[in-house]
Amino acid sequence: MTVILVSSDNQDFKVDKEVAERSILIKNMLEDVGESDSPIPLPNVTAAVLTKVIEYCEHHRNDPVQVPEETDDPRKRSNDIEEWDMKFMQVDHEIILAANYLDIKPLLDVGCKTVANIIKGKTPEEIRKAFNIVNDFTPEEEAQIKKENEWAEDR
Amino acid sequence: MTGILELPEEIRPFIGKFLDTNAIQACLLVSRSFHQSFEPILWQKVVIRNSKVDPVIGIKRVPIDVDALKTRTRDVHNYVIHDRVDSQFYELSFPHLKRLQLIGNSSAVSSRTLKNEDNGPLPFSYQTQVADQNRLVRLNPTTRTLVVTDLPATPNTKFWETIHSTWFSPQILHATGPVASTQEAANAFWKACTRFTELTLLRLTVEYSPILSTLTFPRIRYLNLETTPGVQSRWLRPQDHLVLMKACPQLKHLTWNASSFSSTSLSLSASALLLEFRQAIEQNHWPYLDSLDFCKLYISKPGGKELTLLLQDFPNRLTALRLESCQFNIRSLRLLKDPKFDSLRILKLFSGCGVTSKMALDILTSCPRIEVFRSTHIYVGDVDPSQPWVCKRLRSLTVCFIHRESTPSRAELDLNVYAQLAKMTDLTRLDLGQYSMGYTTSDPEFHLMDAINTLDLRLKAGLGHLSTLSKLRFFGFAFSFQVTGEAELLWMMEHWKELRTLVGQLGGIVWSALRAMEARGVEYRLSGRGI
Repeated sequence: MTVILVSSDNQDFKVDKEVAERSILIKNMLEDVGESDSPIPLPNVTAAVLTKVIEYCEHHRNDPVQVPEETDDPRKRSNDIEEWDMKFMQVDHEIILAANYLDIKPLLDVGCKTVANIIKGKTPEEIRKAFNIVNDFTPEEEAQIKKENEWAEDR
Repeated sequence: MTGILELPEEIRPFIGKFLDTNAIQACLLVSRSFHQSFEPILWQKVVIRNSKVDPVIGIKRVPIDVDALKTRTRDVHNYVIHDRVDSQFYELSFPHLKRLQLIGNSSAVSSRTLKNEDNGPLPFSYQTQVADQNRLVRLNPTTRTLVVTDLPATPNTKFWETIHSTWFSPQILHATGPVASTQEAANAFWKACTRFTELTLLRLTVEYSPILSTLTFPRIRYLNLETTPGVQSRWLRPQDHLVLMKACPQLKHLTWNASSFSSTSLSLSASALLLEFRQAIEQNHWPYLDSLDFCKLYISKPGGKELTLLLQDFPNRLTALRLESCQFNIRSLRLLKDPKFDSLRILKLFSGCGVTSKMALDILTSCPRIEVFRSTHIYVGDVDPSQPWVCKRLRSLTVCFIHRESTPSRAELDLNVYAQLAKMTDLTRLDLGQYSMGYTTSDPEFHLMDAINTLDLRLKAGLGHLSTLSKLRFFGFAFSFQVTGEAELLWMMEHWKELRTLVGQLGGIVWSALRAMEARGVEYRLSGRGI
């Protein structure tokens, strides 16, 4: 069974129902709508991003559905990204936002972990270079911030 | 796709979840916008201590300014407070608090018990602390996880009553040491426990409570109990542990550490307790129970029949079994091969169970559905190529392959092991480390000299055969006297693309090779406990 997804720029995407349901948002929509054939509009996702999201869901269509684990500690686990996923994530923040909107937790986690790995171990200046950011602090402000956050222990 | 790295505001909180403290502190200095986004994440976990210098580690810690903390209460999810800190830190309400931990120190607790002071009137400083503690739990009803550790100012009735009647949806209670020193407080404690879904009670000191046997704990699915001998005046009596267990009809997982039964004077009462437990199992008292974790559940009777009988009577589909210092003998093993235990996915046998090399191999060659297996050791000489391992779904294996000291032709025998391991292509975790050095008389097979003669993990000995394990994420060989080196490391990086953690001694490694590993996201440690 296929469903039709419509991106924000009005492009249609025909997808297997099983693949589309990797998005909890779409899954819930389909349950509410029932056996209807009408296309599902996704006003928050452009065609370019939706193409990538569908590619991800196709590749992972047979993965077991993840059960949310509140007591898990994500900080310790950012090094378990599959190689295919690493190549897939061209660190596009739009995919992360789309994954959040469509409620596809595994894709959201992979995207966030990829970006987190870029930040880890870098000095503030290196982080600025990586994300093309200008430093708008005065040296006094920098010193103050360092001082007022010294207390933080390992999370 | 833009290809340019951006980190807009909306996704920063999601990223922050995966960053450690150092990374967040660096982010705070990047720009004003970053500072605004990441500061709340830094305040998610707050630890309040009572002195500037940590007495154990000697690390100088910067104290937290209570006024700064007052402005950030909305960000705090995890609040850890040690005893003997200023009362101001107890007067705070955190609207999104998920975890609350109160830590005392165990030496203060035991000195009060020794002086028999824990039942009399509290010294003034502790009285203030008790009032402070009550205030803190009253102000934070959103808490899901409560951890109470060795509090010299034993919580009183009001503490537990507040939790019982005002907390919204408590889930996990982890209590170590004293929790109630009067009968009234004890009653309140048990009533509060009925609200939780997970209970961990270690070395619990609690006054006798007549209502315990009348209560039911309908929400508890997970129970972790460490029994105490009950000879000291207020340690929870072993029979009360059983009363508690029986009052949890929805129990799914049970961890029972019966260390205190090891003394022979208690073995009689221990036998009676185990019998009662077994009878309850027989009567299907816990219809959802499918995961068992026993430690030191042995008694002075030889032969270890108890465990066998327990398994025999087990009415449900057992999915997980973990044993430490519990007699696991041939009869128990035979039972596990029965179709009744088809459901068993996880089997972990730690030291002190008397598991022999042949028994461990028997499991690998007879139980097709096991996914996680741990045992102490397997003699390489026992691995028989004509008896292939059938557990094709094995995802995690922890066992040390060793040679009997006097074995000739080790190289040939090593290849037998490699041939079998290579077929376990679903493995994501392989730990060949040596973790059972502290042998007891229950592990008669393990001789100290054998521990040095472990499976050779060099490429020339056959490591290359394991290129089939393409899903491997964890590879460990701690304490196994290896002489692996750079060639092995390069091979691992080349063939195990999913590898994320490597544990064990690598000889003669160049710094650049380690950096390359890190860049690929592989964590390397010299040692670490097996699962």
